[in-house]
Amino acid sequence: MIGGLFVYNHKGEVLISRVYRDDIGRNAVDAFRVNVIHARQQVRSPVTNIARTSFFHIKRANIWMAAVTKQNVNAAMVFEFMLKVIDVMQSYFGKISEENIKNNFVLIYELLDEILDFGYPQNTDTGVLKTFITQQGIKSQTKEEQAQITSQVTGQIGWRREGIKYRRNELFLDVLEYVNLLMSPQGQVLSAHVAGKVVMKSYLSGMPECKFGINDKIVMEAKGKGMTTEDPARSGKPVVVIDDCQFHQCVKLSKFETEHSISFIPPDGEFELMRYRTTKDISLPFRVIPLVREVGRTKMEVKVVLKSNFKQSLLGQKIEVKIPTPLNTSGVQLICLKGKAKYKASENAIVWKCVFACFPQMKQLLKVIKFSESSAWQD
Amino acid sequence: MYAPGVNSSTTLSSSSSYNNDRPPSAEAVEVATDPASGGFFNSDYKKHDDLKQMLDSNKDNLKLEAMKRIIGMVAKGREASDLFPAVVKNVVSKNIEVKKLVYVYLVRYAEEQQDLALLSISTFQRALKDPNQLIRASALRVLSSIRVTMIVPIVMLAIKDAAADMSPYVRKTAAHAIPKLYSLDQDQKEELIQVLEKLLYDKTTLVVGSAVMAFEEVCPERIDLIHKNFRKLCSLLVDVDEWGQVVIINMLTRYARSQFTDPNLQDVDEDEESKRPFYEDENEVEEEQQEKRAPTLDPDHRLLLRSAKPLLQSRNAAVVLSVAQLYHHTAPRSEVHQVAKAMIRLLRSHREVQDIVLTSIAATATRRKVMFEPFLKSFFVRSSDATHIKLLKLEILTSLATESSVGIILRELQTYVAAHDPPFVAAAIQAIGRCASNIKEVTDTCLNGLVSLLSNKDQAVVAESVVVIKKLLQTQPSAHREIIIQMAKLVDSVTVPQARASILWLLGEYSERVPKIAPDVLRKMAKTFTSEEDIVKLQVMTLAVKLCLTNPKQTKLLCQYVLQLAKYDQNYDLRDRARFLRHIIFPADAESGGPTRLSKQAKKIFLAPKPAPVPESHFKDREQFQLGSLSHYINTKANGYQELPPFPLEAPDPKARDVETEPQVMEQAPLFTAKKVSSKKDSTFYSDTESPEDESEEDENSSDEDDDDDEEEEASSSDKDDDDNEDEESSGLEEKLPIKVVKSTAKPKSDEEEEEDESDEEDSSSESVSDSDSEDESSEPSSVPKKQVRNAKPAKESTPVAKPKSNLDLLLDLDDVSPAFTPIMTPSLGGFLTPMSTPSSQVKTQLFPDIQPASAVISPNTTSELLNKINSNGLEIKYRFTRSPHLYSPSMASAELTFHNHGPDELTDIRVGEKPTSGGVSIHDFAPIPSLSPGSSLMGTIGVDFADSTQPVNFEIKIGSDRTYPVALKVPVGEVIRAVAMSEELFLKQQGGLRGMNENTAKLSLTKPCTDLKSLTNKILTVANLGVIPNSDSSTLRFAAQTLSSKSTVLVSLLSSDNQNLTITVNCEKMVIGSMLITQLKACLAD
Repeated sequence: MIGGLFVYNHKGEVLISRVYRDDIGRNAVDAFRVNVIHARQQVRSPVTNIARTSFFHIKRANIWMAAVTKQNVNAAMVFEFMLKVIDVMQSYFGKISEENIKNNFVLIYELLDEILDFGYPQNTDTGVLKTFITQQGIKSQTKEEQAQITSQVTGQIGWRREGIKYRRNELFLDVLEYVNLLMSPQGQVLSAHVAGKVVMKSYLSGMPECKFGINDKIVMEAKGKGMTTEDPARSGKPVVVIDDCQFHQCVKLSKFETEHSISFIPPDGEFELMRYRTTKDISLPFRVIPLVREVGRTKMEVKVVLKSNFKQSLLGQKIEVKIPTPLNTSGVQLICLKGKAKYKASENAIVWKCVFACFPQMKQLLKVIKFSESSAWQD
Repeated sequence: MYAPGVNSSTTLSSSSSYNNDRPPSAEAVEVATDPASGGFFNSDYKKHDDLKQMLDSNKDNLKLEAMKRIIGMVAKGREASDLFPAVVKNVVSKNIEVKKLVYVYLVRYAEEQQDLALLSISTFQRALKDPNQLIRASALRVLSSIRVTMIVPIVMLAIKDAAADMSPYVRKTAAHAIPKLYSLDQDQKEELIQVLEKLLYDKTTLVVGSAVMAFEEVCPERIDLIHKNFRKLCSLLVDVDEWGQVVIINMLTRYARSQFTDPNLQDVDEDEESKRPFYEDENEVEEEQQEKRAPTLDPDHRLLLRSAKPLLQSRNAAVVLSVAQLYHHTAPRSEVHQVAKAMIRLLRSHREVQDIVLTSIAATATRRKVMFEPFLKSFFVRSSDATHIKLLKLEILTSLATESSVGIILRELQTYVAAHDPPFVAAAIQAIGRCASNIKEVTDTCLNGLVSLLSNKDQAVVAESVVVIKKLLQTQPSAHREIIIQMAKLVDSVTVPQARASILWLLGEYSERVPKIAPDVLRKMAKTFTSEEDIVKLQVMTLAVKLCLTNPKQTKLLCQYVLQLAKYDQNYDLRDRARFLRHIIFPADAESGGPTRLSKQAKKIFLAPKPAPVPESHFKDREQFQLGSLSHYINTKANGYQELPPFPLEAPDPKARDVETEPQVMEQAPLFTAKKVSSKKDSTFYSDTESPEDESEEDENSSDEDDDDDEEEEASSSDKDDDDNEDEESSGLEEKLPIKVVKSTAKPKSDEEEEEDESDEEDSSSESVSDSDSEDESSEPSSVPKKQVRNAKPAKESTPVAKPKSNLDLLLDLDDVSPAFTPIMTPSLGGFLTPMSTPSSQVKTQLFPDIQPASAVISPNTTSELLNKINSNGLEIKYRFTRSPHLYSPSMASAELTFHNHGPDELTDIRVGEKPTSGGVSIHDFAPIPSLSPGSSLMGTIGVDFADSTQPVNFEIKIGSDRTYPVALKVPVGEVIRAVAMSEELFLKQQGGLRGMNENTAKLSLTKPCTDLKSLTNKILTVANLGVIPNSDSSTLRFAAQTLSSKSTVLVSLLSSDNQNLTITVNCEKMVIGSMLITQLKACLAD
């Protein structure tokens, strides 16, 4: 199990060090700094093994977090845990930054004490932690409050406390979808899938049990299979073909297995209810057509056409196109018909932003890139 | 540098919280950079004096401020041990925040200041008796974290107490404390295992996860402790917290490997497997097929796999991966692929997790190609991937390549070659090579492609291609003269040593195919010999020697020249090699005795046919490690890695896992539905009765819980006891059990030890009595269900006894001792157990008073067997649903039972025995039959409330005084509803309200066209108890019904566009009923 947890800034200075087990010596902190943070190799795997001690690290915005162990652990669990720690910290004091960590390390120390016991991860749910690890812990709680916390820490429904009351009971639901597309240079779609998530904001009183269902393809697929050969997609109703999904811990997985309905007691406030993936029948919102022409040895012309595929009645907003450029780009000339385009040398890319709301059926951008010839233009 | 903390309330100067504690020397510079913090003005020499003062003050906020600063120092790794005495004093502080910080400090420094640390121990001992479970738990946590060997006995006692605590949270902490104590003092192992055993028996989800963690740490070899808990763990698995799930699944994987036989022994046909489209098989129909195909799977093994499967939907990647590895290591081959989809999903996760998942997939893919083949495209590399991710994806792509998919893969690889990432390009070229040698069909295409890469502008690409081609040519002994010639030409241009060496080797090996070119190349190389890299030089020598043997006329002198050059090389390897070669080719004493034996054989030595290299996945050898573990990832054995045992040839006795008598008997009874039903029953059985959470899910029954728990306790206590006790009355059991438990805890403790501790313990035990009394008082007035109070009592009384004092005391106390397992329910849980949903549907029916119950038109005469005459020695019971409302309660379906005595003897006193008490299901008995003479038949009626579920209802039939038979009453979905009559208008109105999720539609074409839809009515009515709605339109048929218990409306309508095609629509609030009904209707109309 996890033997210790360290947090460093980008220079390798230790911000937090917490050792849970004796087999991790105090010098492990330095070993990681010297071998990973200061060794500036380009490629490195997130797990480093130094002298039979394994360091799992993640890096977020100039902050390194490393978990150390000498034991055989479940690698995915360690990473999941560290990501959770970061989540928890973010919900306590916002962005993860050196400044914030320094200002809050008493709190962090307390948190680490609570969520990791002898290297075993414990309840990491922010909602629960917030009830008994408070930043201004000075105010002493009344008897009832204490009892309430107690029941929550020990309770089965760890993500919701009892006795929540709202004058208006409201529940907001957002569906966010990410389309992922991989295209060959010839313009052929190699793979495309949609990764979506359902985010909820709940302001409900008491312990409500909510039910949630999706346009029944899931049910149909599970039940009607084998009985009929007909394709449910042809029945005329719009169906959601969900490949697979995962849920927040509040969803009763056993119920989903048997009844295919998503039933849950929601945590208070904002949370992510489910994630899903679909791969079939994806209609892409845009088509991006790049045309690349080499003009001489030091010049290249790239023309990008962006076509929208959705209905005229819909709006496309905050569209951003990133066009990567070779490392040795020296100058870029842009001709942009719609929106704004800018070459960002730090990102090695041209960023083209279309901020207007109404999106016409077609538009394009033309640009010319020049290269400096410090290194020969090879390919 | 550090921003000032918020401490305006303190009386101190406005200095930052963290600055005064700096040691004077090293930090001077840092302080100077931050003058605003006031660091300049703090006199360094007085160091921690102000902190001490603050700690000594009697204001809580001052203390807290001081503690915060001290913890700040600790967190940054600064020395703060000289404050120890001042800090420890505050351990008694009433302020919980201060207390917490003192605890943190104590854990860090106790080891260094053992004597002082001991001062704080008594505080903890007091805190262990605190009425607040949070304080009890944190006291135990800190106490067990203090690493001072002197307090081992105290911690041991504390753990034992806490393990029997009422609060699951405290028990959980006790479980965590076990490995801590174990690491402090290994001698305590035996005693700890006993505590652990108790904790493993716990049925609270909160506790079991931690108990298994402790088990894994302390005694992973004691697999026998798991037997009795196996089924419980499986059923609780879904509800345990995510971290616990990971650990439990890991442990169960090992358990499964040691307890069940290899499911893949009688090999399922792999071909058939690969033909099946398998992204669609997550439904039950398919599953049943699979079960049929692998009938030998132990029911417990099946239970494990089944209960782990829902976890594939977990949010936590670690849980998903654990399930994946469980399936990989233990599931029958035909089922492993179910996890593939979930693993693919994880690829969308964070980069670090992605890395782990890809490593696992890469290792799996070497053995199970079919599993990931449909997801091939998910492994296509994106330009935004990190290099190590790209390499892993390449690895997977090559492993997955088959004859059919290799085309797509090669096209991808071709694109990758043009990428900008050198290591990735090299890997892509190697991947092409691997595809080429693995799949014979594409070898030539690949070779051509690689050759064309030889004219690439990029040196690195050319070099890599050369190396790969060299390997490929070896596997292809057929002449590729053209390619060799082309490569020989490259010697002039290629500069990468590895590539040059490869070309030279090729020329030497196949010199007879290019007799003219090889000597010429050697000539060139001899010229540039001195400026070559070592690896090239070695190959030049090899080439020279080989040519010298095949073509001595042209090259003998050249060869001598090269060897001569090598003789004076700087590298000793080269010199060695030259000397060695020279002796074989040009023996020094040639003039004396002609060719030596070695030189005669030289040709055989150097030109022997060499086996071609077999390109293999780097991941092949990772098979030996458990998937997803650290060892697997780094491909070396990490500390504490436990190898997965191979499957046993002969499964150990499965009886070891039997916990209660009930499921065991059920399995013996060969019901009609045989295996599948019984295994299913196992799982539902547990989930219905055990965890309090489940009960709250069931949400209908709360009154039944008490009985449940009693049963549970009795049952589990009975297996603790010896088997012969099983027949005894339960009250007897309860008294007997404690004796056993106490004895076992008392035994290992030696008498001397006890004497030492005695005085101490007496104090604390007397304290605990008084404490627990007060606790009792506090809990009673609150509105706790009676049962809980009753349970609470024995638990409290047990506290003094759990501490072994002397054997005499033990004997005296015997009567008071409670069962080893404390009640699961605590007052705090009460809130969750209260039923949550008021039957809203009842309200609904009142809204529509026009809905009248109607009598069934048809009563089906299909009978099913409830009890087989062979099992019961002669009594046969058949049942048939009459569709008439049961007199006892309208929510019950009445079934007509036919009893027939086939046996030779008269059967007396036939009645219902044990009835189900969970899930809202209830049974109204048939009138007991006093006697049934041989050959005669009798009828009876039983009423069953199925609670709107189609789960079979299990109960017992008793005959006479000693014969008991478990039976299962299965109900078709058509019988859990009751026909109602309503107007067409109302029907449509109701239907309008049940759209969306509540609507199920199916299309169907009839085998023979029917002119009148009405003719189908009878068919439908035999299947389901529906009431016909009169309507005018001849192309539609409408039926209505209500579910029996919750009175939810069920609406069925049939619509035919022509005479052949039908559309069936079922609208029902209960989605399960709706979808099951439609399946059934379709089945009946189809034939």
